[in-house]
Amino acid sequence: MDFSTLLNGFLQVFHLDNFIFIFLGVFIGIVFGAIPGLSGALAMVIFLPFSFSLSPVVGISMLMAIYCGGCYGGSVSAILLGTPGSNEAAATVLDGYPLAKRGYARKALEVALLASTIGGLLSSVALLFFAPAISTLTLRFSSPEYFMLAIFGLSIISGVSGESLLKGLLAGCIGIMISMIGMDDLSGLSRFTFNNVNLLSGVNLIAMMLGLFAIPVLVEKMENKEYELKLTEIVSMTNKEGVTKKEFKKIFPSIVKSSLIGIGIGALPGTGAAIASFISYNEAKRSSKHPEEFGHGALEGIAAPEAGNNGVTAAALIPLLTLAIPGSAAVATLIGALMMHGLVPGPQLFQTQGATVYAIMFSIVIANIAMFAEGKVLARFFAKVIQVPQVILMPMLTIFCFAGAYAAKGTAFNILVLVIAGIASFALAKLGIPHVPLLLGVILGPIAETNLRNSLTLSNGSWLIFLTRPISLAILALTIFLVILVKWQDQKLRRKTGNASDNSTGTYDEEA
Amino acid sequence: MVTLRTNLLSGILAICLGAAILILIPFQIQEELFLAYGQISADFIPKVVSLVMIMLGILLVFQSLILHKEKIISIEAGAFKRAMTFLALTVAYGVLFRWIGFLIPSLLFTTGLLILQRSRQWVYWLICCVFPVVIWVLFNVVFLVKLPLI
Repeated sequence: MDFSTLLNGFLQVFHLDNFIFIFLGVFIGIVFGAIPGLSGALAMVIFLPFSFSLSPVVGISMLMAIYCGGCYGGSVSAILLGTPGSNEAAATVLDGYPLAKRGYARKALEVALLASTIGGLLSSVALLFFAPAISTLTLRFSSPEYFMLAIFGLSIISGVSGESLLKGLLAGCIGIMISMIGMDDLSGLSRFTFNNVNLLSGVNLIAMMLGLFAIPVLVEKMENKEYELKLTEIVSMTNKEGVTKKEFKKIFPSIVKSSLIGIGIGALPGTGAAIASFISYNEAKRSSKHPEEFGHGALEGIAAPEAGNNGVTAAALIPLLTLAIPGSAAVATLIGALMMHGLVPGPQLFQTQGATVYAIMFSIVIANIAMFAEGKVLARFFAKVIQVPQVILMPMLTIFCFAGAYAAKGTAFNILVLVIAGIASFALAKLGIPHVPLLLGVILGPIAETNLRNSLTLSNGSWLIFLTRPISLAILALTIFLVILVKWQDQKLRRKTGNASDNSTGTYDEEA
Repeated sequence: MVTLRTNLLSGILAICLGAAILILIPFQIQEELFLAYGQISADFIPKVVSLVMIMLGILLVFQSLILHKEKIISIEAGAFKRAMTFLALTVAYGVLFRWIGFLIPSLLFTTGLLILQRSRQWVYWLICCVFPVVIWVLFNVVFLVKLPLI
């Protein structure tokens, strides 16, 4: 770790605009996370175009702040409404809602906030510690290793395909085909452009992501009218009793253990916050002296899933920043943002943009502190937010998406991309074809293709190059191991939770 | 009620898409005049991926028709109609956005959506009418991204 780069990155954090946008990002994240049907990950996509008018550090930090806030925000509706704002808060409902119904809504929210903050902070420390170390190890990579890394990334499809691997693979193929549109970097030939100049530089990632992830959520909200009816069941926050020191001491070990589970799962591509929260909950229940209290408002039952899902947040950046592998949809959004800001994730990132990367990592620490402050001060406001009527939410979000898509490139062609992607995404969702593998295909397809072609040129056309180089072979072995591990974990979790954390439909919030 | 056999439909979609891409490749990707020894051409990956898509499609159809492993989903007619109307509105919004800019289509879109959701609260109408203007100002003044007014 280069100390001067580290110090330079640390100093870059301390700019007023950075703090303002981190606080704003956390606020947006909590609001989106709290509203059932929306999520922090969706907020990241919607606000992605805004980040381009900011500096790389401020823009990416704002998106990370949204991600952190979104992870905590889900617990607000889980506790007050009994409906998780996002999938990662599904386990929080099990004890959060019963405790709130007993009149301890504020206590439940405070436990969730404390656990989320500690989970997020420990995760940030893990990122600061592990990411530079891994990036040093990956410096000796060349084309064959990069190709294998892309295949490793694509293998994540097995973990995010949900119930049908075939449909997950199909989505990945569609994604790769979309990434082929435009000018081929190596030969200079245009592919699938239909003589349209706008397609020469490929399909705009931002407009496509907005269509792919935001439009189906809006259509789903339009289809579903139950949410408006459930608002009458919100638990009031009249009892102001918070968490006592004794209670905090009791739940602290569980928070630390769940945070570590979250960090481990977050660093593993293809898993995600939802899985982390369920595993943390199960572990807390298994190791508790009073497992019978779980499901009836146990504080550990709230703390464990919240620490677990926020433990994922920064740790999920470890494979992204060091190996350019987006482990989940929310993190895949960041890869788009990083590339748009000229930061190419991968082994070279710490060498070329070290200070900026450190600044982003330190900003995540600030984001978690901001989350704690906002959660503490604005608890009542966030409780009100979940009552925002769908009637006004729908047009606002749609207009945001259209404006954002246009702003991403300043061209009306992006609007066409957004609309087509939105309709296609809605159709794919109905057919049970998940979206996240599609996005992985779009991002990793070109990396895999370019490095495959370079590798074969190096080896005079011999495909054995991928097996004769030790690192490449090791990555291949790791890929096979990870596919088996993720599938095994998924099966195990399904058996335990009765499909409660099923991420099969692949909508954006579910893969966050 | 609209029912969908998702595995069968996905399979058919995959076969059609894969076949369409295979047909399109000679028209959309020119043949490379010079290829270094051992190098693969620009149409290699698209060909492989489209063949994989066809194969996946066949497997999905096989799963549905022969193994009778099918996931059938039902969509309530009212919900389907609302979803379709919303999508139609977004298409109209997109078309108008390209032709006459941001502000007027946005106002028309919010109006359409409020009518679709049968909103009678004047506050919602006011918020939804002011919102496009706020967004336009936000983009043009704060983010310095020119959204076309008309």
